[in-house]
Amino acid sequence: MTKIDTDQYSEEKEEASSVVTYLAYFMIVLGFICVIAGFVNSIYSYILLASGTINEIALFGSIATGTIAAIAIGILLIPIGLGILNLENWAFPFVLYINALAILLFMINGGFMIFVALFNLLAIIILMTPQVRASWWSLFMEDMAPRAKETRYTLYLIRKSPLVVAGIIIIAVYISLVFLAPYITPYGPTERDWYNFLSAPNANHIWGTDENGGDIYSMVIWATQVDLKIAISVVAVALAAGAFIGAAAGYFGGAVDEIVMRITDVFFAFPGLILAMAIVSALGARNLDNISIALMLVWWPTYARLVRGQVLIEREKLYVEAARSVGASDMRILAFHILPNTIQPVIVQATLDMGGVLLTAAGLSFIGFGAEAGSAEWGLMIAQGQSHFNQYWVTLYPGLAILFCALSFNLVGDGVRDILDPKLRRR
Amino acid sequence: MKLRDYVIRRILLAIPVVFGVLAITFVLSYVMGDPVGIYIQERTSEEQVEAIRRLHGLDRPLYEQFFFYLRDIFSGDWGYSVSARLPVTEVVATRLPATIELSIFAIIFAIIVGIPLGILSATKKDRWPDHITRVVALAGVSMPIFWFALMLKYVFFFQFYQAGLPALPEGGRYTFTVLPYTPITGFLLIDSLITLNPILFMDGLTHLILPGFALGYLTLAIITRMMRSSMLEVMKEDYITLARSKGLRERVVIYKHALRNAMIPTVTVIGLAFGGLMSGAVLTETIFSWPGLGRWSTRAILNSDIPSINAFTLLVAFIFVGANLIVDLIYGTLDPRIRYG
Repeated sequence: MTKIDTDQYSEEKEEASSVVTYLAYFMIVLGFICVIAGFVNSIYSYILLASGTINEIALFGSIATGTIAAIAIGILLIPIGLGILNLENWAFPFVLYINALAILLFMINGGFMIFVALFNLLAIIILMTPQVRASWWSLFMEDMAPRAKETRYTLYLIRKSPLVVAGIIIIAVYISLVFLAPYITPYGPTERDWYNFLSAPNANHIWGTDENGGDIYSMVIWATQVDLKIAISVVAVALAAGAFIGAAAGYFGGAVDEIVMRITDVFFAFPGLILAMAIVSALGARNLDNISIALMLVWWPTYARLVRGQVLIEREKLYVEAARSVGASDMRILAFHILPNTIQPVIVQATLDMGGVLLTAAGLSFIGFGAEAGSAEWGLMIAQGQSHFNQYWVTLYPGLAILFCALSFNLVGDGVRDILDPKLRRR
Repeated sequence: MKLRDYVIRRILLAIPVVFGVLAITFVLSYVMGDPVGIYIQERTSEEQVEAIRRLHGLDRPLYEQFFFYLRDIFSGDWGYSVSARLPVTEVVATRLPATIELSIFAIIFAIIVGIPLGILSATKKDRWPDHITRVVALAGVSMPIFWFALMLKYVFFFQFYQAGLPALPEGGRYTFTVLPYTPITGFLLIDSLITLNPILFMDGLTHLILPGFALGYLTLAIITRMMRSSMLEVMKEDYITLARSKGLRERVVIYKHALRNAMIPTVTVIGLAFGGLMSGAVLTETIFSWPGLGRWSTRAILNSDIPSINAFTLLVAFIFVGANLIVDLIYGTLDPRIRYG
């Protein structure tokens, strides 16, 4: 009886480790795929540039979110694969973190990098299969147990807070507008009703028309895609870059830390909009990609500071000391303790920044750095209202769209920050 | 640590930041385009271009150019603004007072309204004054300032005018078609007081209301939120409980005991809000045709006027660094823990 049990046990273990081995090899291969894809992406982007499909700025963006990100991720994946091969338990959560980041960045980059993102998704799916989960999930959950309880409590508080729920609902509405735009708008984003320009709200144009006869309602809805894309891509890239730099600064300390912090000091010496203005004019062409790049450059120091501070705080905490004293490796402490604890304030900051980026991008677009005239973008639409401010509808509706979008992100960010604040929690 | 040492250390810390600001503006203006471009006309020959390049030291290595840049900035030669057809320093001298006047008006408005609102919100927590104040503050940080400005203009200029009510002016600093004004200090309100001209003073004041309100609303929101949260925090302290248990009236507890300590974080926020104010000035000045730095900067950027863009960015950064330095020094005097910590 006992013998059979043991056999079964060892057999199961054998089975499990074979999938784990597959995952390990897959990670190593994926690492190489990412590096190669990074290079291919840059070549592909240059070809697109030469054929005139994209401009230099889009090329720069593609190189940032595609090539550099893919190469960095690929290089990180290889040691993780080797770690899994040696059954080191820190490697498993890293597969989750790195691949999730990769999917986010590759989706923003678009093009054929989306196919690479599918591989990353596959890696996460393999990671979550029962066979692989057996070798890390219980351990992960054991370390996460107190945190999981806290998270459940947090979710409970969020459900109880009407303002946060309202914010989440508004965000959901905006995101659904992105996908529903073709079905709920009577006109396309560039369609014009030339004879009815500047007409007040009526049956044909429920929110009126602008100076070229564009339907305000349709344009406001279509612009959701454009503006949300800017906000999400700026925050995602700034977060990824800032988090990486900040974590490195906090981890290495000393001269690296000092240099990084002095650089962020300099960036903080400029008001956001004004530095972005200068960067846009340095980049040359005036379009939305340019605005995104400028805002990314303006916003990364926020996250670098935040993550560095978190890493420094967490590093000195008693539980990290405890983990170290029982012989946990640095990588394990990073994967199981420091990163999960750092992520919460970063997410809150990112949510709040979505509103800020949205407003700044609209402001830049309003001054005239944004999309080409006539395209559906909230800031640009308001800019048109500047010369027609007697026709209130030209200005009012795009502004309300920005207001509610920024408001929803602020509601959620504010509410969640209050909920997570240990000073206000359970006393 | 003595206060003097703290002041010295804080000033020394600002030096690398100023240097970094200079480096960033140099790099940005270097990338912006070939500065020779503005001198070139149809008949300019290659030799002439080379001569211009040599004249301005543009053929030198980059580090030497950076050195020249530093020298010129510190000696007060900030270049020539093509869009304004004046040397940059002159443009700044004529336009800076307008922007400062607007900013000070906005910040005074924000402080006068924001701090009482924050106190009201904290003392009436979770009752309707609190809810209304929070909505007002949240709207302030979520609202595109340029949209708000346009809406104000629509209601208080256009609709009031249509309805025959006393409308507020739509833009500008004063009614220049009717009133003569020769700048002395550049600050219109001060000048009109010096020259004992009440009509001009009132005219300038009515012109300030809309842009000042539009610009100050964001700062108001930030101050209100900060005041509320720091007031709530202070009200939980032991010494407040003690003051109450001594039988002091609630008014005295709030205004004598709580307010002073709750003001400290608010002072810092006001310093940081200065940056937002400069950003907001760019947008507000564009809408209200305010003859300040912000409007000059947008026009300069749309005309690719490199020295002007550079000077504006640099100036705003200097003002911002200076404001933060002053706030830090005030903070150090207000709260001894900062100095000793």
